[in-house]
Amino acid sequence: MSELVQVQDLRISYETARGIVYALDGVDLTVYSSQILGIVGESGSGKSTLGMAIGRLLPSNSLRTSGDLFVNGKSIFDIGDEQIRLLRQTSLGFVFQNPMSTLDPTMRVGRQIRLVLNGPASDDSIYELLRRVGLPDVKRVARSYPHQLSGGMAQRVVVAMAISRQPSLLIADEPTASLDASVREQILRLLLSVREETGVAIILLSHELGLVAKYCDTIAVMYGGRLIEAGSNVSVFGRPGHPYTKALLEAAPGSERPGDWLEAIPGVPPVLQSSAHGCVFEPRCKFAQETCRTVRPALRPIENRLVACHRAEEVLRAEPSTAATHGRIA
Amino acid sequence: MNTPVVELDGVDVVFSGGAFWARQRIHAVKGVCLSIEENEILGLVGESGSGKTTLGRLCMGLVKPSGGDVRFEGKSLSDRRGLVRAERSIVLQQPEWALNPRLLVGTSVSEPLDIIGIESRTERKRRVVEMLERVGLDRSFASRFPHELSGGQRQRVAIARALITQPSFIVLDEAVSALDVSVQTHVLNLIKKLQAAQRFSALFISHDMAATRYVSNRIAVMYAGEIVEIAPSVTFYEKPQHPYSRALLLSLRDHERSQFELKVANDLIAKDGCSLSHRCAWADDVCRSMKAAIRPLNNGKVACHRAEEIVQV
Amino acid sequence: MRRRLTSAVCRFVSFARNDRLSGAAALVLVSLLLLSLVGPYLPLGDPEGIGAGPRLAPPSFEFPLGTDELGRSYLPRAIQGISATFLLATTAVMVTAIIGGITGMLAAYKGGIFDGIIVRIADIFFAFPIILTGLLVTAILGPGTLSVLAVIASATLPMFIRLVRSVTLAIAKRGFVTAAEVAGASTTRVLFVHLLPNIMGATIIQLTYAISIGMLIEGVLSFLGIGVQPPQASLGSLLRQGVLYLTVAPWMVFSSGFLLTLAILSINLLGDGLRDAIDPLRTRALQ
Ligand SMILES: Nc1ncnc2c1ncn2[C@@H]1O[C@H](COP(=O)(O)OP(=O)(O)OP(=O)(O)O)[C@@H](O)[C@H]1O
Ligand SMILES: Nc1ncnc2c1ncn2[C@@H]1O[C@H](COP(=O)(O)OP(=O)(O)OP(=O)(O)O)[C@@H](O)[C@H]1O
Ligand code: SF4
Ligand SMILES: [Mg+2]
Ligand SMILES: [Mg+2]
Repeated sequence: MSELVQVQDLRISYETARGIVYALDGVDLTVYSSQILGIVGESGSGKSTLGMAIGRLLPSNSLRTSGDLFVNGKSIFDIGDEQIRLLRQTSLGFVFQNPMSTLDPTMRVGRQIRLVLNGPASDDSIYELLRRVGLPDVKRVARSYPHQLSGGMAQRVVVAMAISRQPSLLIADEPTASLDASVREQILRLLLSVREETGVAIILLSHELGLVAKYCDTIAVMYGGRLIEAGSNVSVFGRPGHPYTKALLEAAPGSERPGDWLEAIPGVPPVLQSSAHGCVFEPRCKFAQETCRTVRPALRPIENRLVACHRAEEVLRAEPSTAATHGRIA
Repeated sequence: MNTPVVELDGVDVVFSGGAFWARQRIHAVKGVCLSIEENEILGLVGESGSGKTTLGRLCMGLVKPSGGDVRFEGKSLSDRRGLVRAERSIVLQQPEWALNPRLLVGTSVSEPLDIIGIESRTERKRRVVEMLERVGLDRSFASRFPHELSGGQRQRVAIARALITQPSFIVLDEAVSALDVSVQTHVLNLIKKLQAAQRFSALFISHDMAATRYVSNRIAVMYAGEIVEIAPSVTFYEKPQHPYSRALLLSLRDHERSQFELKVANDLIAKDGCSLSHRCAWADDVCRSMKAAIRPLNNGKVACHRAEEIVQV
Repeated sequence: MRRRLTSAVCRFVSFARNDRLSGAAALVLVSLLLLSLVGPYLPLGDPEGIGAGPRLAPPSFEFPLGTDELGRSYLPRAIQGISATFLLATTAVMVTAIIGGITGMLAAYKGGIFDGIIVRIADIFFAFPIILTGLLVTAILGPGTLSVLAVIASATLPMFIRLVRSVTLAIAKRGFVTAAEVAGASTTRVLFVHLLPNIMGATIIQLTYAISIGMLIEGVLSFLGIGVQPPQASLGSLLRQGVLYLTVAPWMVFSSGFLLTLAILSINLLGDGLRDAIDPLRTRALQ
């Protein structure tokens, strides 16, 4: 297993009219080849920002304040525009979070795929590609404009385009957000089989815990622009070491009885107008204590995983409810 | 009985697509009869491409039916007069297109208020901030542009805009699909709470069976443009009456078993008989030769010849 | 290798445009405009004062651009010419931009028969050769400023309708338009709150382009003698006179020709620069 992507203390912020938003606040992460890494986290926690950063696709109001990001050993912030284009073309595949805006509204889907394939492609190979992502009636789909497709169909077209070039790293940002369970399984199985064939590493950015729990070997949990827990699937979801991961697992709907109210994690997700001194989760944390407010917890190894929490030991010990949760979502 | 808020009466929608020399007719919605009662959230589930979005747009009068009639509070939508539009709102499936890129989030959210003529600026502002906070966004978001939001934040802004005028009927098309569990729970709770307080009706379109169950009073299942089952959500999740519903529910837990119940096929629709007969594990000769019309059974409706047997399982 | 080369060239060009060329173009344009505005008040002489100097005199200290065949100082005439040409082209294009913009937006937004008719009409106008339109219009209205305005309008109107329509089509299907409709927004509201701001960038670029076309049309028509009539000056009519005395007094044709070219070139360069600068949404799409 070689290191494909290395993120080191990356901090990225966005400039807005209302001041600066800290989207990534010191993230460290390594992705190995042919690994499936699932990154989960609350809405706005910085998942997409991290994914975009790998391809240097951040919008122009973004700012890297510190840290570095290496792909294939080279810092993507140092290499030239031409090289980054080559890198995107040859080794990176992207499924963006917003499928419809990745598709050109004025061009038929089939033609767009042909352009992505970047070479002579027969109609049949395009149909085959569409069939692999489980689209029915592929001829019609190929001849449709994007607005003539349903949301889920467009999403699958985008996935098909991303895998068509056989990248060595696929960054899939919510690739199945508007797909029903059976198509979702089908897409994930497809990604697994592509990995078998080509050894592609996959970064799955998703909010769907069940999906990530089922298909990823490694899990990284993000909160408020920081990586708060990372490790193997079994250890992180089996016995969460961070209060947020724990609360996340408990909030999943599915087990409640009709008429029950679901328990959301109290409080609202943070928007970081400044880099917090202590732990970002502190205002909502059941385990919080005085040090949490003042000292930023470092990412430290404990029981087969990395956790950024001062009280990880206690969290790990106080767990009975989560084992059942894992059984349910996995 | 009260008149239903929305009533679809044998509605068909046919799109044309494909190459212009080989026009293809896409039957997106087929003979759908459905009503959404006052103070009810109807969940609409079904696989991708089954026509859910089209049905939602029908209820809003955004798609003209090729056949049949759509009535809103008893009045036909083809007859535009007498319709107060502020009574309805929609959350569309694609959050990235839901907001005008040139307007600040606050302006977008307050637009419906503007339209129904709430003049006072302070009043508008107060309600915008309140609504944003209810969907878990703090007031600073009002002065951001849509491209400065994450996917889930955008979706929540769209929900805030839809709920702000306290409409009497809302279509929520995959409204929580980009949200993580915690925020999703928060928003689902909000929908439930507002629904209890304001007593609106809603069509909740989703592929997420768990979320749908949580908010809906009744569930309708769609397959290839047809409604195959409608049932109160309490009984639906316990005792689905249609093989397709069974497979959908099973796919939540056990993918292999659901594939056994519902085989994968290239064609969506069988040539003869029940449109599912080529995939269904229950299909017999009757199924393969005769269309299954939707009929009342127990306290729901189902389009399956063998529904009685299926309930028993 | 070739792709790399072209992309390198493209990058260089866009860099140069962004930083230098469009800046220089804007500077030139502004000074031309200023000149045409304040020109009449500068102590340069009377543009229509016959016999102010000797006929067809070469440039000198007293007459910086020489004099014409009637002994009028050429510099104030050239300035009057620029201002007339600018004014004509801009007025005509502004009017068509507003009419064409609204028609195009409506056609795209409403669709159906209305759209079909508008598109056909625009196509017919578009297919008509400008010179022919010019002859036709002057035959009806008679030569003069009014007919120049009419010809510029009829040549640029279909351009606006087509452009605005196609840009609007891409936006009118988006969710925010639908959501506004459902919330009860009127057509005016959809048009001016939701569609217009989103097509503004493309329209402004088209505007600069259309103005340069308008100036060119004015030049051609007046050159042919069916445009602005003497003694009033415009760049086209000056050129026409200049050509008559090309061998005896080349400064006439060169100075007016140079000014016309300079103005049109700067407008186009500025338009291109704007195109690069205006894209506000900074999409995250792959190249
Ligand atoms: N272009 C931008 N300008 C300003 N702020 C931005 C921009 N893009 C994202 N943000 C902010 O940065 C934070 C992280 O955004 P990001 O898109 O990475 O979140 P995410 O984890 O992908 O969330 P989601 O699950 O909702 O898509 C959010 O608070 C968002 O509002
Ligand atoms: N404007 C259109 N022109 C042609 N075909 C269309 C159009 N809109 C939808 N369709 C087709 O109608 C069918 C149903 O689409 P619809 O968007 O209603 O599906 P859906 O159930 O919402 O699916 P998803 O869960 O993927 O969003 C699809 O096959 C789609 O391609
Ligand atoms: S560091 Fe403290 S506040 Fe943060 S998660 Fe751990 S216990 Fe909670
Ligand atoms: Mg995201
Ligand atoms: Mg849909």
